[in-house]
Formats: sequence, C-alpha cells, structure tokens
Amino acid sequence: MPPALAGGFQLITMKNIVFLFLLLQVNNLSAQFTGATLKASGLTCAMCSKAVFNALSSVPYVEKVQPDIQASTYQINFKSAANIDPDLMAKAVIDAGFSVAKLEMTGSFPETAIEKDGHVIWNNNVYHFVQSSVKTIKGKQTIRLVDKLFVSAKEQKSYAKLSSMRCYATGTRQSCCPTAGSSTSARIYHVIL
Amino acid sequence: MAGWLLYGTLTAQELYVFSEPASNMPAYSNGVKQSLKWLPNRPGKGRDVRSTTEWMYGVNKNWMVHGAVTFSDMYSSNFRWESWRLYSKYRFYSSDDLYRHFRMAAYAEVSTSANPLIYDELSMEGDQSGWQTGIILTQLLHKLAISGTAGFTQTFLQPDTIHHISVPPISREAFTYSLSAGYLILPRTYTSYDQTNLNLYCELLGQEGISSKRGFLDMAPALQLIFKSQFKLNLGYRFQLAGDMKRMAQQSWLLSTEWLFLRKIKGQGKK
Repeated sequence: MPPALAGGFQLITMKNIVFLFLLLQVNNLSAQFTGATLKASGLTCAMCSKAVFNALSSVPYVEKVQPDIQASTYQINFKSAANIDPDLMAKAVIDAGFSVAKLEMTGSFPETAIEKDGHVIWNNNVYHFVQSSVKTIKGKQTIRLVDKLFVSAKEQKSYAKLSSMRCYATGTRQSCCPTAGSSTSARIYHVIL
Repeated sequence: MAGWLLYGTLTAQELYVFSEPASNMPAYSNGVKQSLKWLPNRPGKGRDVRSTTEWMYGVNKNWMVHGAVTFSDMYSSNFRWESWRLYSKYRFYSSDDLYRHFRMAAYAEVSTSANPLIYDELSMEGDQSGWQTGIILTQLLHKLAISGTAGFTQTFLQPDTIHHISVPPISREAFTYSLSAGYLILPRTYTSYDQTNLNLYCELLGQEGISSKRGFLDMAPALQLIFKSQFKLNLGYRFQLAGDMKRMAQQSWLLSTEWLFLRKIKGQGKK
C-alpha cells in the first residue's frame, strides 16, 4: 500500500470516506482547451508587455497571442490537440520578470461532475475544484486557475480559505488528496468555475 | 518567429540613465549598450570623452551580469583603452501587483583601470580600479518609478600623494547613494508596441569619503526615447548641487543607446 494511502487509513473520518467515494469517480476525461486569457502584473510599459508577449508566444502549445497593452492582458489561442501544461505560461511570464495576476482557460468539456475539493482529470492533468457549488459541466466552459502562480498574493490568501487542504499551498498531491490517476508528487491545478 | 528578437524588458520608466533599478532584464536575454560621456569646459583640453561598451545578460529571472570596457582620453592626451569592469545584480525580493511592483536587489562590481588615484571621487565607471557593493530598492507606481541605492566603494589604488596633496588625504573607501525617479510621459494610452515612448528622469547621486569626510551631491536630469519597444536613446546632464570633493569635473553629459535582444525561452518544452 502506498504510504500516503496508509496514512489516510489511520484517520478514517467522514471526510476520508467522501474522498474514497470521489476516488471512484475520477477518470481521465478528454477535454479540449482552446485558449486562455492571462493578466500580467508588475508592469505598465510597452517594453515589458512586449517581453511578456514574446515569452508567451514561445510556449510550445501557444498558437497566437493577442495583447491588450493598456490592460496588461493577453488573449492566448492554443494549438489544437495540444497537451496544455498551464505552468509553462506562468514560467514564461515570471522569466520575463513579472507575475501572473489572473489566468482563465476556456475549453470544451465532456460531461463532468464537479464537487467541492473533488479532482477532475482532463488530458492527464489533475484539476482540483476549490469552490463549494456542486454541479455538472458540459460543453464550452471557462475555468480560472487559483494556484499561487496564477493569482496575486492577496487573492491567494482568500483562495486558501476556500480549501483547508495542504495541496493548495504546495500545488502538488498531498495525503489529503484522492489518489487515483496521480502519483505522489503529481501537480494539482486548483481551479474555480 | 526568429529565435532572437529585438525586444526590450523591464519597466520603461525605471530604466534609469545614471543608475540601475532593482528589476532585472528577462531571463536568457542579452543587451548591448554604447555610451559616450563628455566633460564640458575643462581648461587646457580640447575634449574629454569616455566611450563605454557594455554587454548585459539575464542569467535567470533573478540574476543578471554586465561586462564593460571603456576607452577615454580623460586621464591621457590620446584616446586609449582605460578599464574593464564586471557587474552582477541579484534580485532577492519581488512583490508584483497590477501596474505596480516593489523589488529589492543586491549588486557587486569589480573594475580594473589604467588610471591613477588623483581625485577624491571614487568611480568604477573607468576612473579607478576597485570594487563596490550595495542594495537597490525600486517601487513602481503605475507611470512613476522610484528607486534608491545605498552602496560601499573601495579602490585598490593608493593615492598619488606626491603630485596630489590634500588634507585629510584621499579616502580609499566611500559610501555612495542615489535616489532616482522616472516618469512615463508618452504615450498616454498604449495601443501598439510600435509607439515611441518618452520617459523623463531625475536622479540624485551622492558620495562621501569615509576617512576624508569630503563628499558631493549631484543632480542628473535625463530624457529617454524608446522606439518600437526595442531600442533606447538616452540623453542626460549631471551637475554638482553641493560638495567639497576634488573631482575631475562637476558636470558632464551622457549620451547612450541600448539594444535589447530577448531570447526565446529555453526549456519550455520540457516538463
């Protein structure tokens, strides 16, 4: 038995039972992310915006970037059928010398049940929904990433309140998480609808 | 898109003409800067010019290095090689918000120069061999960027006490400090990367010899044009407001051009 799972059994609470229930629901679903809207922070000038623009344009799965310099916002189109790793967009902005204030990704989703603190696996990436409303999504949807790389420091504090789970702080799978479909140190993207 | 692109970095209004901001250039990008400094009204000399060619590189998002070579006729009758220098800056704190940031960095610089130590003013910009270190704090508030530097400078040279006598003697160590402000004047509204930017700067630059207790405080206004978000042209004038240091000149002009080459970020395809 993996140590993380063994740890889970040491504390059999209602919460853990809920997770085990969720575990059964976690399947790797095939979704198609088509694009993103990214707002960068820490800059005001065209030179810096150009640096961010160029960095985002060089992300392998990015097809096209449409900048709004004044608003510090970038409309990003993804290449079709590309495997989207949102961390690469954050890394591009950070390496250019700035930060991401907001990242929303739009995609076309199969029918997916959304639970608070539930995990959804789309195209091998694990997404953890931190908000409480329970529903099912289907078709075109926009999700917002709320991990610390994708929000301001101030916002991060308020999102941290939505989930007491340690995986929000680390961005990787912790003993609090359902285990299916992810290895011990797997990246978990925390999102809201 | 080509692997190498001529695009700039940082926040324009903190690209100070006489000092460095706490922000760095983007990781893996290069810059080249060519500066000309000249001193007006020096008696007995037709011209006094220093040419500085500087290369800059962003090692990673927090660390950048500069290497520079200077040629001048300031300490000689003919125009000749004068100095080498190496500069390194590390950004150790960064807090970003929409249209604003606060950053802190530490720097160290070492230079080797052909010139003797005959003036109170210590400078690693070609004048003397030595080293310096310090801390930079920069705050960007939308169109205004304010930056402060506090540093320590030490020359490797011994003062030339035979030809240049001063009491107390020239201090081999000095505290340096600066306060800089930059304001983005044009464009009022950004619509494209091709718009020409105009930035206005005003900097205060000071120094105090630790043992001599002599010092100076300069003011340095400057204008900066940035074309197509890729090429910079700076013009600045520096003059002494107050001071009792023996200096080569109490005023100087600076003209510089700078190209920044932003590189496609390596390793993004890797997980």
